[in-house]
Amino acid sequence: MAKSSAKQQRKPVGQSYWALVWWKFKKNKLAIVGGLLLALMYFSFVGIPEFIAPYELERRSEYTEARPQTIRFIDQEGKFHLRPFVYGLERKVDVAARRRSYVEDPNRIYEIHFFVQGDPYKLFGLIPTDIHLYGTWSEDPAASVFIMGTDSLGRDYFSRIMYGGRLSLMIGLIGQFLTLILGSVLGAISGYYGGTVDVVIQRVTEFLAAFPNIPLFMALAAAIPAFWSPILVYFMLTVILAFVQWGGLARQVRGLILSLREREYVLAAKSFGAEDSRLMFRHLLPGTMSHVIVIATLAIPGMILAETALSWLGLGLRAPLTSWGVLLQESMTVYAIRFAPWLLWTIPFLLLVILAYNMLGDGLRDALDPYGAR
Amino acid sequence: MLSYIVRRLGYAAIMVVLVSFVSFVIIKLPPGDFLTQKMEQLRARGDRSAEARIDEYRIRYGLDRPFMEQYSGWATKFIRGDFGESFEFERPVKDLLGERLLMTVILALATLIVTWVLAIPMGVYSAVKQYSLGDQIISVFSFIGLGMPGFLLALLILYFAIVVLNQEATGLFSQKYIDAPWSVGRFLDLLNHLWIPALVSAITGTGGLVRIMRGNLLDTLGQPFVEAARARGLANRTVIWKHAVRMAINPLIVILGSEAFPSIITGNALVSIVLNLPTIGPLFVESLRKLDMYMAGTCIVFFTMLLLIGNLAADLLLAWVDPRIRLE
Repeated sequence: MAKSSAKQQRKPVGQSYWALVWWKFKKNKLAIVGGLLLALMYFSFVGIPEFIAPYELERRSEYTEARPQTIRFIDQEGKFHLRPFVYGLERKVDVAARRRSYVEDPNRIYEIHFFVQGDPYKLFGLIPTDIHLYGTWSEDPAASVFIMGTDSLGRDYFSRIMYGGRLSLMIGLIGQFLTLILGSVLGAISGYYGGTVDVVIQRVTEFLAAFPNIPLFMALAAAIPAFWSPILVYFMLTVILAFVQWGGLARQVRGLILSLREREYVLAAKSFGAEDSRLMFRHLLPGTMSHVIVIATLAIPGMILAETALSWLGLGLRAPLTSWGVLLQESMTVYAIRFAPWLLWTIPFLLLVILAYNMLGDGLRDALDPYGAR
Repeated sequence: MLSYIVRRLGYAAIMVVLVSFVSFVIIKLPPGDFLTQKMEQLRARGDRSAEARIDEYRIRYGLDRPFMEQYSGWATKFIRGDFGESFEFERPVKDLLGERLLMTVILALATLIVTWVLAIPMGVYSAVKQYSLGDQIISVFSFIGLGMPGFLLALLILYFAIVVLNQEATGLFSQKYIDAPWSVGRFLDLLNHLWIPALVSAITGTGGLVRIMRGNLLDTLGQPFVEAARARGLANRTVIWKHAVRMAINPLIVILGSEAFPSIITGNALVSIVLNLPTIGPLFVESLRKLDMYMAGTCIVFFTMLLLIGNLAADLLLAWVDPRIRLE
């Protein structure tokens, strides 16, 4: 009792800005859930997809466009298995529709084991290992587990979604980071110096705003030469996304800088003889950061979607690269939707990411303005 | 007022010229052009006379001349109403766009009406009955609509229509009615296909509008003039619709001009591609992919024009609706 009261006495009366932000953010359960979800997804999709995916990205099996195998606990005799299992797949030719399909064969049972050996890979790109989160533990070479089916080349779709997430999630983060740097530096220069520089930067942002957004994306992405290496294409696409988006951010930063410029603390720093760059980057920009972070967080899902849409149209990333947009290319035909609807599994993952970002961004927006009424 | 409009139009004209020039530059950026792609195709097919034919095309489309000449030639013709020829279809761009214009406009107006007729009453209800069950249901739906990209939603609805309802869902007409003259049957067939794009836009389009309408109306309802109207003994309905909504709707007018109006031509290109709708959007995307220069350039110029005109129209409409706003 005495101890806790002593603790309370030591507690400072005034709280720092970030302590208030954290205090307010903590109260928003939805934002916490969004943040944790994102952390989990980034860890599994960007950090350890090789471990979670049962197969390698390009590992082909003989089962092409096989339907997802249901994970079961009860077999056809009604016996309960403690260890989950899947039935083997059997090819069936549908003469009328002139296509092959696969049905589950209840006589072959493949048990699902955890931490099994499989395709070798390097964890975090460093540690060589071949342990996967789950897989079948069987001598039979036909044993396989496709929880989300396979694509037209017989590759496990769940594994491909896991690997594809890496590029899709990173493009949002990297692209937004570039936008943030471009937007805040140019916005700060524009607001701080004023005059000719300001006019030029403002005209450029107006031009970007007048140029219809999606056509600009597409036109620029279409300009990426087809023979470039995949890495270069990926990098270019990120730069394009950032280039189209920075204008809006720059305008907002400029507005904030204009109001901060006349504050007493800035005038004081100026009268001490601080240089322009120090004033801009040490005194002015940090004041805009809370606002900028919120805008950036809420803009990341838009960027992920832009990549998805472009790749899906065939204007963005291309096959050997695998992103969620590239995966969607296969699933957009009426044929695919009718006969291989499991190729739409990419969409729930995408929507989950978007939802999580919106939840987190919404919470950040409220929390970063802790003095606000709400 | 007149001088304001003239100034804005002059500014818009400069913008259009700039945008058209830059879009030409961008389309010219990748190495090669439409004809190099075509040449590869012809060669792959084993066409011996490929090179001679390509040269013929090159001269016909003026691709052998320097860039500035190509651009200025196209631009001067554009002003006279000749938008050049599409390389891919080997037909004038004007005809190609004209064919699809009617359907594009019908579709855009239909979705516009659906969205706005749904969004405004929902937003008003949400604000007036704040925190009621209805408000919370509307809020959840509008959050989903805000986060949901249209083309993914279209894919999901397509899945539902094809797999669950077992319905032919793409395009605007069934095979039977595509070239048929207008009749009751054709109209019903159109309605049978139209519900999917309408539903997509109702979900994705209304979300943002409902949130804005709700937020603005909540702000307005707390203001003294609303209280004064109530104090004068006006009916609740009159207070809300004649006094509060009239004030709160202003930001939506800006959106109508800057987003809804330009989308009449673009529609939602991505949704149109998924649903295989005969609108201008898919044509434009295809022209970009094929480096079909005059086609893509014409589309971009029209988008920009509509955007700029829409912005101007929104500003004028706003000044007309809200007398406190003065245009310099």
